[in-house]
Amino acid sequence: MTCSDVKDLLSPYLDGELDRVTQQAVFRHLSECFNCHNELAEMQQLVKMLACLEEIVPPEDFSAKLSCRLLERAAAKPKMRKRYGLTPQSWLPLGAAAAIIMALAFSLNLWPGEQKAADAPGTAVSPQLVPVEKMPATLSVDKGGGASLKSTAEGAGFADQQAQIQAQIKEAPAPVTPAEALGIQTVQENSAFQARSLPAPEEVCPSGKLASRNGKSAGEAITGEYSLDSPLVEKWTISLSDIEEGYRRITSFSENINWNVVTLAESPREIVLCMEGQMEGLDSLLSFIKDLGELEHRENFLPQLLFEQNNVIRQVNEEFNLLLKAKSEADDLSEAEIEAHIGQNRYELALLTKKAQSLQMRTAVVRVEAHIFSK
Amino acid sequence: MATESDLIKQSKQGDVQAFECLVLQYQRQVYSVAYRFMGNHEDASDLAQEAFVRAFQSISKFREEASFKTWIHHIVANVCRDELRRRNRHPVSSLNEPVFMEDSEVYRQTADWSMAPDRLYEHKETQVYLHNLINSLSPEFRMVVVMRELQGFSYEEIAAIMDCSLGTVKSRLSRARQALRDRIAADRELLSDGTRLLSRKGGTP
Repeated sequence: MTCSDVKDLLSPYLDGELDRVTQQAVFRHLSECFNCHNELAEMQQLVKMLACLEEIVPPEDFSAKLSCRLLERAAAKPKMRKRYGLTPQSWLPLGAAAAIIMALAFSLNLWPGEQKAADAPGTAVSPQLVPVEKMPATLSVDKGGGASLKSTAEGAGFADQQAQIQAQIKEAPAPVTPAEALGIQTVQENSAFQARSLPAPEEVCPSGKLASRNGKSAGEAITGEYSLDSPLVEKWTISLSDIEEGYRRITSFSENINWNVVTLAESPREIVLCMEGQMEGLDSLLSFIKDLGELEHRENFLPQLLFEQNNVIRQVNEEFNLLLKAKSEADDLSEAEIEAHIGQNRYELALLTKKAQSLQMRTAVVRVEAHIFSK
Repeated sequence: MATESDLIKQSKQGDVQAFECLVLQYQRQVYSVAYRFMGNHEDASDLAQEAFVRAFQSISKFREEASFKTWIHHIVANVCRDELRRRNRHPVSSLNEPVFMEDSEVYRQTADWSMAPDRLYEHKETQVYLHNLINSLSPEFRMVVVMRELQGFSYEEIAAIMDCSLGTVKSRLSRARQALRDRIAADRELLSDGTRLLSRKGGTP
């Protein structure tokens, strides 16, 4: 055994971490080699010195500050537990979805002229399309237990855009009336992906934001489902002077447009029209209706969707932070669970990417429920 | 007077006051460890608090197989490890925190030699000298040294906390100790009377 061999073994030798044979070989060498023996002595002294390092008295405000934090935590604890119970990861796909949908919605010029939201600064975001292939970056969960939506997305430059969009939405006057707000909840409540990833509303946190999002009954404001399979729903209220004439024009128009007429019913004072088709045809249907009569009210699926998705994003960030905390302080979220959760995210993301693409390609199915009445 | 086990029991039921009694008993140890890990009081204060907050949060999971002391030492090591690694990934300031290169450099920076051994006449200055010595190690090495020399963790425990192999712990500790020993030897050599350092401290265990 050479001196340089021994040098590297001195530290584990000191701690008794060598196997017996090596330990003895080092011992023999040390008994013969002054230099190595000296080095060992110095290392021993170092270890002793470090062990003699004194304890430090914490600063005066240490206890008080800690006390505050503990009380805060004690107060927050029950809530946090509930929310863990909610499986925070169930929100992740929603967050990704929300991000995609929002980015896409803003990237598409889906608001015809008189749409309320059109005047809001929120729509002024540059119509730059977020490349769909970048999306998975927002879901990458690192080995350390996941990173927040924001931080993982930073690299892709997506978070910036998202943040920008969110900021602008905040600045914008609320694009929805309270009545629409009710509708918003139902968009959320009926959304297929929520149903898949969340427990039933009553299992959800009985108080607080989640409850207010999910607890209210759908009521009459059901605007339809939002999923791959179900159409996006628009509700229009139209007034015109001549119902008879209107009915005729609608009939002939519906034959020339590539949309399905789900319902078309007429009474002397009103027409109920329900049509379904690809988003592509929405503009021409809209301009037809404007030509036909007065579009008194339009409940567009997008502002609702955006408003809600914006909330969801905020929620997700919050939940994500909770998840990170939970992960760092305990092991109850095992690797396997995280893996499963990534898998679920991928699945949800795939669905939403498809949906987003269909929005982008304007092939998404839209259902227009029009209530036409005579002036 | 409530025993530690009583206090733990009460803390598990969410009793903040009981937990604060535990804090009182261990805050010096925990703070000191955090201070050696982080190198400054500000971070030490923050992370020691964080360690206690986390302990309180997860005390219901504490099965009392090990002592509370061991448990809280593990927590503070984990908290500091996370923070040091986080900073490593996202360097806060490139001037003050040179990026650590995996295993290539034992020393992160030169120690603050304003407290060089020539002035180590006072016990307090020895303490500062040693602190700076530890603090001059790059984070991954410093963590191993603090856990082993100050916290008294076994190689296995360190490997678990650092999420690395026993061999890595062994070699890092060895290299760190050699580096520290060399540094002290160099300082001692530099100064004719520098032997004081070792003779004063090391001579009297």
